[in-house]
Amino acid sequence: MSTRDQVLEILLDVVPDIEPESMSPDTNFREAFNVDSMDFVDILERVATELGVEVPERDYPQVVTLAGLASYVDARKAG
Amino acid sequence: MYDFKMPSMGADMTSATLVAWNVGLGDRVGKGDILCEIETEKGNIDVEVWEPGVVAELLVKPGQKVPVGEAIARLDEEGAPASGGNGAEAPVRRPSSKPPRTEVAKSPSAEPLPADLADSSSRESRPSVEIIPPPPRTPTATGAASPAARRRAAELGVDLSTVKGSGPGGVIKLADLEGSAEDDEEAPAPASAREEAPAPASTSEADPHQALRNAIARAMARSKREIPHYYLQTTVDVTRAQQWLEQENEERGIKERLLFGGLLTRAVALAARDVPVMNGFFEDGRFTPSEAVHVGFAVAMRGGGVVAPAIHDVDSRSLDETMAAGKDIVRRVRRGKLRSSEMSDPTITLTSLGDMGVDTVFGVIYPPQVAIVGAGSPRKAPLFHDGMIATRTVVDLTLSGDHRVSDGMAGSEFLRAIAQYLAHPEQLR
Repeated sequence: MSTRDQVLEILLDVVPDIEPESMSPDTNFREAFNVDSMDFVDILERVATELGVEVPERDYPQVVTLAGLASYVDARKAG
Repeated sequence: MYDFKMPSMGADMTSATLVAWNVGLGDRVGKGDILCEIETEKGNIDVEVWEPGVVAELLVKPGQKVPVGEAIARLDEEGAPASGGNGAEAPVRRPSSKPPRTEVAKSPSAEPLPADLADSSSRESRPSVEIIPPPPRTPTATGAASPAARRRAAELGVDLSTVKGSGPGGVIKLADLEGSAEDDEEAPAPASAREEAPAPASTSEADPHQALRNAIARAMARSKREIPHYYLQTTVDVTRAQQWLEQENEERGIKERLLFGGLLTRAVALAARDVPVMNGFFEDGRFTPSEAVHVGFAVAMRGGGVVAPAIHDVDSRSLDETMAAGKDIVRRVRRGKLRSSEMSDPTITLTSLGDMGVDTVFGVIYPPQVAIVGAGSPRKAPLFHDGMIATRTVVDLTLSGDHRVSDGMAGSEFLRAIAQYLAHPEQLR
């Protein structure tokens, strides 16, 4: 399973309102689906637990899209 | 022997459906034990016992809808003869709390305490915290189902993918399932009980989302009818609080990270302790301040609607404990279950729009409470600071207060106290 699929699975699990068909990889999912700070933290906790990458607060703006979050995880894993 | 009645989970609740009993006949239950699970317009709730006793009779069956205040079980008081045959029936207890209560059930927390807080030397006197893990989520191809519906489907052997959900976003609710089960052995309520139930308003009963909206409307209409609201607003410089949070979070792992909402909840609780006319209940024509500060934290529900369960004893909790309890409650509002004590006993409410909202929110007081604090989204604004105009982060704080209990002077003092605490975030730890 690609990182993007794994990330999408987490997103859908935490926020069932997200409609994958109406979300492009570059959609800001926080704005598009009203993902509040509590849900966002939940998503990042799941990413940390399941994918082994912790996102520091200063990098939050980079991970508000599916593509951004997936490539962030890939880059951290590679680095 | 006493009757345990269907508790009210707030001014807007008229009835609820029993989902399952967590106890059997003859079981001994203690204060805080879960008696049963009910389905309400605001989701499923674990109903707790407030008096120890022995379960003598279960009066309703799963699937039965019961009006608030109707007996659902009979309990023998501990030590009393199990038969209860002497006819000396104790007065009925209301499980929903009457203020002031100094001893309350602790809110459960799914988050382990950070190591320094779990340290026995500093916290050994605290009661243990009961942990209710969120129910396992079973993603289905067709969409989500409420935990109660999933359990019932398993009992009935119904394939969830064949059921059409009527909840927000097609979520399958318990009622959808009862309709689909062809051989429902658990008969619905006895005729007498059904006759007593209020006649369903066709639109609200058919549409759970509308039922929730109607419930909110009932509470808010009662509030506006009975409570002479007054409103105050002030803009608070939270630059220092935000900087403090950023520094704290630099050193914290993702699970221990703090949110502004946590600081705000603590600030409101400490200010409520300082200005007691904001914290308590107005009932039977008089105000009773509460010694405990249970902050009702307004949480947006999936598919619309809002619920404000209590984070207990915020004034005496640490910031980390408040954060953990708040996160746990938000998770359970959206994915799991709340407990009856959380629904029935907030002493003041905070509605915070977080970072996705607008500048200002004026809340409607949730009866029988007497105040609600509103916090808009933090924003950058030009502000006089140290004699110069500077870009600062500000939040609009509002208070909706009850004129039967307080006025603008006390309200101003209260809002200023919140602002003072936010200016010294280290005091909120």
